[in-house]
Amino acid sequence: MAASITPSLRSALERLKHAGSVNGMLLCWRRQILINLLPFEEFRSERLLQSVHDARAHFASGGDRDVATFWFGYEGVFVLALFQGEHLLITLHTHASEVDFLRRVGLTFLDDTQLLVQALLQPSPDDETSRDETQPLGEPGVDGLPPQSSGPTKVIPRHA
Amino acid sequence: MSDSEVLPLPLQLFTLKDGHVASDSGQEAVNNYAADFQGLRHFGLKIGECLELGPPWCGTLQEEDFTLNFAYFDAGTDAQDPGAGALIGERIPLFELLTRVNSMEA
Repeated sequence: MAASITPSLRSALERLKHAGSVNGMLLCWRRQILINLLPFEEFRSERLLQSVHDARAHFASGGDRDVATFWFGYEGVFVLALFQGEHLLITLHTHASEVDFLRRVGLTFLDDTQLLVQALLQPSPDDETSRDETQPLGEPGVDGLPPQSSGPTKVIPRHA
Repeated sequence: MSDSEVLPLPLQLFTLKDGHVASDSGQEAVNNYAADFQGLRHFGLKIGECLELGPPWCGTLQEEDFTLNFAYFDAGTDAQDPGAGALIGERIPLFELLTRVNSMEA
């Protein structure tokens, strides 16, 4: 199940990456990277994740402060970091005016993908079994189309 | 209004010049803002180093009922460069607060 769900989570994040002027995204759980769509080397993404967490810990250290959002502007690019629960979504974007839109869709993404993230973090034992039992697709026919079944189409009753 | 209700912090504006923070909001407000500003700028620098983006020219942090930012004017990013900042006891649009701070340059 997780094997089929992970691409869904990635595709959801990739769809979000095409929103507005987004240059890259990083989805994390605690201090662990789940999906990295940043145009940087892996070690830079890792350092970024740690630095954002350190920033949040710094402001929380003085009492009960809970920073949910950081937004920094650099020469030509902005970095938006959104915390929600144990998740962190970092977005790199170009246009400052899009930040509130990106913040809202980012939080919606984190809301809507809780089950997908959970399945990614805790794959059930059935996942391995279901993957083994998956039947490979047949080779395409001479015309490039999927092979046709020789028998009649089987109708599976809805309430067997 | 009952005693338990606390009014949110009003919008407070700060100026950054020659490495100093100034405001009409009083010394305590300046001290509180300066502490947050220094922390925010420090981590903005660290994040910029991670991705080789250089120092930040603006930064914002937002909590459930608190928003604080800073921005340097023109192309400045050095601690001595002129800039401005703001805080407010609400969660307001980030771009709106940045626009408000940038308007202090004029």
